[in-house]
Order: sequence, then structure tokens, then C-alpha cells
Amino acid sequence: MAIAAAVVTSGMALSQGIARRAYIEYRTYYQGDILVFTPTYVGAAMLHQVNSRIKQAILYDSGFNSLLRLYPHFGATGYLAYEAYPYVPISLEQIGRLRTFSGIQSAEPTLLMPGRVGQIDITLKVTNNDLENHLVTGRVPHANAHNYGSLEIVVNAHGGIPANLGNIVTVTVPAFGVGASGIPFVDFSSAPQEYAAKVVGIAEWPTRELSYFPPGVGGEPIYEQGYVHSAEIYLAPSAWEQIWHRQAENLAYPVLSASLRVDNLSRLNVIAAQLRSAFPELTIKTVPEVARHVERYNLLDHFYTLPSHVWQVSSDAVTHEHVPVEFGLAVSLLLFANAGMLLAGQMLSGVAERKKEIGILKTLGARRSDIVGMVLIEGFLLASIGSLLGFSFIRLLATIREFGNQAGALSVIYSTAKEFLTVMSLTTLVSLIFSAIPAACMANLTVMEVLRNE
Amino acid sequence: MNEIIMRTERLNKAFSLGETIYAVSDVSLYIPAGKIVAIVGPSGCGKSTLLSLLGGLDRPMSGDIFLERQSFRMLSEDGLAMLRRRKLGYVFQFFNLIPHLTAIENVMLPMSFIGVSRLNAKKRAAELLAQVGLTKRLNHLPLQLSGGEQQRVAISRALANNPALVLADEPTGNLDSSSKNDVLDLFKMFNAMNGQTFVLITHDASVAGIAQKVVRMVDGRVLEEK
Repeated sequence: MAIAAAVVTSGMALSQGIARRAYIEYRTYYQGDILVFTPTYVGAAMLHQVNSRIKQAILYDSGFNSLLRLYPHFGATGYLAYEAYPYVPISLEQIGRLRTFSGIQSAEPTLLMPGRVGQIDITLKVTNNDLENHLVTGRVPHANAHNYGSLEIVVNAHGGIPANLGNIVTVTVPAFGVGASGIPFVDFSSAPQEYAAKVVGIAEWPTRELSYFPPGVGGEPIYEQGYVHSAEIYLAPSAWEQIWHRQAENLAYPVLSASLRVDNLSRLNVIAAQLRSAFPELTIKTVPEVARHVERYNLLDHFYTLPSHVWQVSSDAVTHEHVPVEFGLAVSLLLFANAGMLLAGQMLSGVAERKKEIGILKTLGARRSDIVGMVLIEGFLLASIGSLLGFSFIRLLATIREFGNQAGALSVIYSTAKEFLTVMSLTTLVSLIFSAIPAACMANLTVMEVLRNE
Repeated sequence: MNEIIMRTERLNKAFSLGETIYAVSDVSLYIPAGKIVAIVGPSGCGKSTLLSLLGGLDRPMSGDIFLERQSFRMLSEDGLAMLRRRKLGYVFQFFNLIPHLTAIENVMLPMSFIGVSRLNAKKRAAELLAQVGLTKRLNHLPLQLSGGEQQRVAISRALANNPALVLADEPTGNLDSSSKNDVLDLFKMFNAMNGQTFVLITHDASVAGIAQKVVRMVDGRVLEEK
């Protein structure tokens, strides 16, 4: 029972272990508090490449290819999927409505463009002030300049790009064309253009620890610090626009996602809920949700969950099965059910052994309700001991992890208290449900039934 | 002391074992208050079944039992449980102590059902165990006690809530002669000291010898009362 409860609580405790510092990193990386994606961008054509267990996953970054060269085993896990951008943008009208939505301070489109440095696929992104500040005050040791010229760049330090400050790198960018439906696409048939760019900053964006099995059969899992996007080059907005217009002529930017800032972080979830209601056609995630998902599944990127009606459209188009169950939740429920069954089994096996005791208690005047109460309390105590042991052990590990992520003591105390209440509530529920049958069996024993068997 | 603490009206109890066998048949008797009453008879004559009916542990097929004018038939299962905890005490042949509780905890158990505080229960249990000569055995588990000592703990437990009536089913059936005499002396002592009524089921003539009233049973029927 104790082992079962330990397994159950571990998932819960660790799933909450997102430290404050980690949250700040995610917020900076995603450049906002709420992320908005287009359903077309998320769904449709790339689904066939996704692992059969996870049909809603997509990695949107074109740096994925270089990532696979560095970590080929990630591709083998099936957790990652890549497809060229479908380029069905969020409309300018939608961006305008998002900007004026109640509680929203700003809504900026995330501008992306695929490219290459040497043989490495990269994503060209647009920086914002947060990144600039982060480079100066944050964890990047080399950055001491943030004067972005027309083609001066910040590169990701772990993309394999020759990233020394002051280096000149050659960025190759393909041309873009217009598809039949007016949607921009990457035109690989045209010759790409080369741009010289000077490295003015180096950024590191670690996620939490990743674990994976090495290629081949068997072996111990390997643990290492992971990086969300390993091949990125951040450009000043003017530089990004300059390249876009040269490669795509007069095509409008394809806005595939947007980052929103809220004016009051304490209302983040409320605002997100209001947005989901007002923009059912978009996928809307708060940064903590995204961060939690990344942490929980040790993935390089997060899932985007489609609104049901959008999913319907996608599934009609690609005839794929939808798996709506969150795997971790399902496993937790299964383990709780198992723990409950163990408890019930334990209590039921005690019925025969304790017949005499129950008979004596009834002789002495115990009522049916007294027996039921006694058994329920015993079940609760048994389950609680298991849960407390499991919780203490796993919470200790989670706390070490949180402090490792520079979480504040108050936030650790808060999350510990919250998890403790959750675990004990579930323990109470499980113990009540699964002790009920043994309690009824014991309460229904008659004194004569026991005494006759003496 | 001519009051009647318990009486029965035409009690019947049968078991179906292929054919219907009447363990208790048309039994009407009365138990005088403050006396020791022995119910005697050969094995299988229905003594223990009668005792379980008198103790509210089982229901008769027909007839009724009155304890201080309270009809058993009118009581629900919970009502009978409440009656047992307040007005009845039991002593069994095989002691029936809770094996994982100490002697004093076993005696405290019935008091927990009527809301006696733990402190008072402990005090009363210690007094009772002292009265039966077990002062030095308070914290022993049943398995660490002899048969006679276990039965003395069981008697203390039966008396814990100061019941009006104590029912004992072959209380000396599992004891040697020395322990048997000790137990019988205790019944006499508590009867004389507290005026409590004892009903003893036995087939042992020497046990019946301490009774002021003897009820003889044969084949589920009361043959005679002396």
C-alpha cells in the first residue's frame, strides 16, 4: 500500500515542481504570458508523423532538423514531429481584437522564418526587449552588447552555430511563394539568398532535465539538461523585416502565433478563460500551462490542444484518431484505483481473521454503525500512512529539484501545502470508497455466526 | 428481593438442518433480580441458544423476552446493542478477549461504548481487575495469562458497565478445578457485593451448586425450576 501510494504521489508532486525561475525563463522565451496559435498551424497535415500515442503534438520550430542531428534519439522516440509551415496565419483583424481585449496589455505576433547556417537548419525569430534585458542581466555570461544593427543577431548557444561574439555568420534563407489558396509557403525551387550577420549576443534557454534511453535496445536512461530550441537566431525587428521582404517580396508576414501580455498577472487564468470563450477558433495557452506540460513530459516542446470543434475539422481532413486522454492523469487514476484495490483486498482478507473480534465487539454493545466507522477509520489510517510515506519521500525529491531551480522558500512551502492537501483529500476519498465493502461485510456479521464457529 | 429482572414468554427457536430442530421450545421462565440462576442440562439441550436469546444476541422465532419490562421484540438491532452495552454482561467458556489488547484495555472496552472518559475507564478497569486479583497483570496480553486469569479478566469486562444482569455460558468449562473455584467465588462475591444477577449456563453440578435457582432443560424445553 505504501509503495502504491508513493508511486501515486510522486507523479503529483513532481508535476507541480515548476520553480519560479523556470517560469520566468519560459515567460521570457515565449515573450508573453499567454500564447495564441492558429488551429491550422497546429493541426492537419503534420499529424501523420506524430507518435500514435500523442496525436496532438507538433514541434513548430524549423530548428528541429538540426536538433535531430544533435540528438537523433529524440526522433526515434516519436515525440517530435516536423512539417513545413502550413502558413495559414492569424489574421490582422484577429491580432487587433486580441490587442483590445479586456485585460490584455499587448499582443505581438511571433514572427518566424526558416533558414540555415552552414548545414544547420535554423529559425529566424524576432527579439523583444525582454530578451535584450535577459541577455544583459540574466544568465548569459558573454553578452555585453545589445545594439542590434540591421543584421546583427543573437544566436542560441546550443545550436551548433559558430557563436562567438563578433563572429560573422552566413545565414541562408529560402524564397517564399504564394500557394493556390493564397497561403505563403517555402519555395525550395528558387535559389536561397545569403546574408552576413554579426553575432552580438548569445542566449541559452535550458528547460529542465531531460531523460531518454540511448539508441538501440537496453541500457540505462541518460539524463541531461535540455534546450527548448537549439538552433535559433534572434534578429531585431527591422532586420527580420528586411530579410522577409527580400525573400517574399510583398507577401504579408505569416503570423502563426502571438504572445499576449496581461496587465495583471493575478488574473492570468481568468483572462485566458475569457479569451478561449471569445476566440474559440484559436488555441490559447497560458505560459504556466505550457511550462507545466514541458516539465511534466520532459518534452522539448509543448502540446497544443485544439478546441473540440477545430479538432473535428482537422480529423475530418486527415482521418486520424483523436486521443483526448492526458496520459499522466490516466496513469495517476489507474494507480489510485490499484492502491484502492490493494486496500480493499487487505481489509477484506482481514474480515475472516477478525470475525471473532467483531463478534465480541457486538456482544459488548457495538452497533452496526460503530463497526462501519471503525473499519473506515482503519482504512483511512492505513491509506494515510502509505500516502504520507510516499508524499514525504517524493516531496523531498521535488523540493531538492525546486531549490535547484532557484525557487523561493515561500513558493516551495505553498506548493508543498497545496500538494499535501490534494494527496490527503484523494487518500480520504480512496480509503472511503475502497473500505466501504469490507466495512459492510464486517458490520453484517452476526454474533451467533461467530460464536457458532468457535 | 422478589423482583423479576427478566422473564420470557413462550420462546421458540428452531434451526433448519435438513429437518427443523427446535433448540428452544415454548420456554417461559423468570429470572429473579439479585440472584444467581443456573440453567443446566445435557449437551445439545438448547442451553446456549437460550442464553443467546436472553442476551439479545439472537432473535426468537416467536415469543418475547422482557428485561426490566423492556420487550426485546420492540427493539431494533441498534436498540438491542444499546441494551447490551448498558444492562447486560457476558462471560464465555473460551473467554473471548481481544488478543491484541492488554487485560486492562479489554476491561476498558465496554466503557468506551457508553462514553466513559479514558481516564475514568482506566481507573474503573484497574479497580475491577484488583477485585479479581489481577493487579499485577494489568498490562499483560491475554496470551500471557493462564486460563483462570483470562476468565477473571472476562468477568471484570462483563462487569465494567455495572450491568443489571450477567450471562455466563459454561464459564468454568475450560478451567481446572482450582481456577473453577476461584471463578465461582467471584460470582458469589459480586452477587453479594453489588446485588447483580447472574445466569450461569452449565452442565456441571458443582457450578449449579452456588445458584439460588436452578432451571433444568431437556430437548429445548424447561423441565423444572427449583
